[in-house]
Amino acid sequence: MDPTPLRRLRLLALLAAPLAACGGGAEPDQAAIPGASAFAAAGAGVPGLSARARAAADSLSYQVPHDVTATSPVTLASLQRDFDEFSWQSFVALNWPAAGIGVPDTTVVIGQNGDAPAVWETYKEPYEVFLPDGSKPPAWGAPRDIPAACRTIGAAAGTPVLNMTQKAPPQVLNAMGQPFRTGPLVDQDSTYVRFGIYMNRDSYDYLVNNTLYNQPGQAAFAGPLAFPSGSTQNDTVGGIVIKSAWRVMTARDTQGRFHTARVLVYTPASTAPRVPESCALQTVGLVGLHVAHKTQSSPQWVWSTFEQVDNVQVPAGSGLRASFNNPACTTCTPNAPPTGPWNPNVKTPPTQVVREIPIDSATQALNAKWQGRLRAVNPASPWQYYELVSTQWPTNAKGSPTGNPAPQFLANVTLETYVQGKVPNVSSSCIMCHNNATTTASRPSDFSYMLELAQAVRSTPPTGGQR
Amino acid sequence: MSTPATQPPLVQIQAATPQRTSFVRLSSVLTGYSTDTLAPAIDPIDLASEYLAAVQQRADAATVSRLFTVYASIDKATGGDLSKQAAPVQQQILADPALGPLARRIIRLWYVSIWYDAEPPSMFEGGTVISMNAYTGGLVWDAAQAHPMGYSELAYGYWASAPAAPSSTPA
Repeated sequence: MDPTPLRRLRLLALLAAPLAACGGGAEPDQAAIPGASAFAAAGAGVPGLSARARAAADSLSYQVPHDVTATSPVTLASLQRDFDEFSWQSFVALNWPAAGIGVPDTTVVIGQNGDAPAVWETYKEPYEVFLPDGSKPPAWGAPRDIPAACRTIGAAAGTPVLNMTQKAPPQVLNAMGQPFRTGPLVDQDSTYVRFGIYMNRDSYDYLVNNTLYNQPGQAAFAGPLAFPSGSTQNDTVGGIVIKSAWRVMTARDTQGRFHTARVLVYTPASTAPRVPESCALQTVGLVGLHVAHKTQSSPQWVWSTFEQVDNVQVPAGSGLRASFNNPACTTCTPNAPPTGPWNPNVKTPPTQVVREIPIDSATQALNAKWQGRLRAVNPASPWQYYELVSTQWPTNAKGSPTGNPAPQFLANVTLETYVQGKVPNVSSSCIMCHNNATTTASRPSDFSYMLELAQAVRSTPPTGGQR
Repeated sequence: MSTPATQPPLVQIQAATPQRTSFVRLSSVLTGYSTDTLAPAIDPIDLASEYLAAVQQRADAATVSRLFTVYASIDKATGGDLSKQAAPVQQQILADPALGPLARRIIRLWYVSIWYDAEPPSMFEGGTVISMNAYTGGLVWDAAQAHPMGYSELAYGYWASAPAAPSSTPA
């Protein structure tokens, strides 16, 4: 007997379950998520909102959806739309103003007061979990440490830190580089883009509770390694990992179109090439955002990716400029990494970035809807200037380790600049790539490369490079 | 916005034309794999449409037309029951001097993703791999519980464990 139809039925049943639980009659743009109805009441009570803003706020929630809600009839196109809705719901919730570590401020609506530090920016970063001496990480909520070089410029403990690209050991896919070490990304101001990775409480707890934060712990772990799954039925969020891309803001930028942050831009010392350690407090603008969320229906995780809308193209005559493309440059090679040696402390010719796979029309229409809601809350909200590129999800989750992902390829121009395209096993596919992730003990690590950052247990931390 | 307003969909939407449906049903009888395996309802790759297009573009149009006509009569005579179609497909299609070679090319397409001009292929004919997706999606890999060179969907270290049961058993 061919088991495939049964597998598919199980997937569809799993996807449809939240729908059934929520009455099954929700419109696609009103997909029911935990807390949504509760937020509607809260939104109505938020002071300072016009009637139009309040109406828009009622469709915005600070609750991260736990799993996708499928709408009937189920088709490839309908499921893609459902996953894209899930992505936008997640984007809004994760970018909600933070009231504490991982906690949204429920007294305001996203963007109501303009820009504000987002919930996900309070999550743990890998360097806070995988410590150089392999010791147990500080508790969730403990303030971030900052590099010694940053203390010398008077930066306060807890100030967000963005690491440099590419060179800091260990040489793995991490916060400091693009996939496959293809090269740094340089913006039109000739400045390197910086990256940051963040994990939510469920991810952090799983790593800490299972002693997966150091190499001996990973070697001893009996496995299989499995982050918690988001589940509507069980009311669990599940593991969420975020990767962000930022560029340094200048006077030439229209900063109101970016979510910005004051961060420490830190460059650890390197010997090959020789780069001195440096740290500077700068204002950076968010240009790319990956959200990976493990859910019950998607054990291969759901991969959502957003960009700032001015990354590669701006409206003609707007007076704006693209962050990563110069339309006047006829000799620039598209999507070519800068020549080495790479030194982020030196101005470098900009990367001429183009998008190789266009955002499809259905996703563009969905983007317009969500951007309109954010604009209705506050015409000056920076969040209206972000767009979903797409959402990758497994179409047959139990059929194979990778689950036949849709779309087959997905790239963010700021995070997978040099691996865009449509060549299997070569071009960017979140699930196909992360399926290769392992622990330091060479065991599959449930689609997370973070575990490769674990260090041996040492009584004295190594010096230089990593903090 | 960063892209024009009208772009082709990133996710392919299969056109469930009667000819594609018929092609998938005939392919199921020829290959021994279920229609759901050959053309899943939720499928971002859609090899069935690729193979159908290849057959239409590369084979003699009159022969292709007759193949579909003959298969339609078989499908109707068996009440659409695929489990009863092996014998009539053998007798009316595979044994036919013109339809047989075309049907065997279709089998080769599904299994090894290659179109050969000669049937059987001549010793020196390399054939044409239909596409990169076809190369990785050939049934031969599933049947052999293997994967093509340079492409595997299995997790790191899978070779250390006993292989799982075949993911798709021919009907």
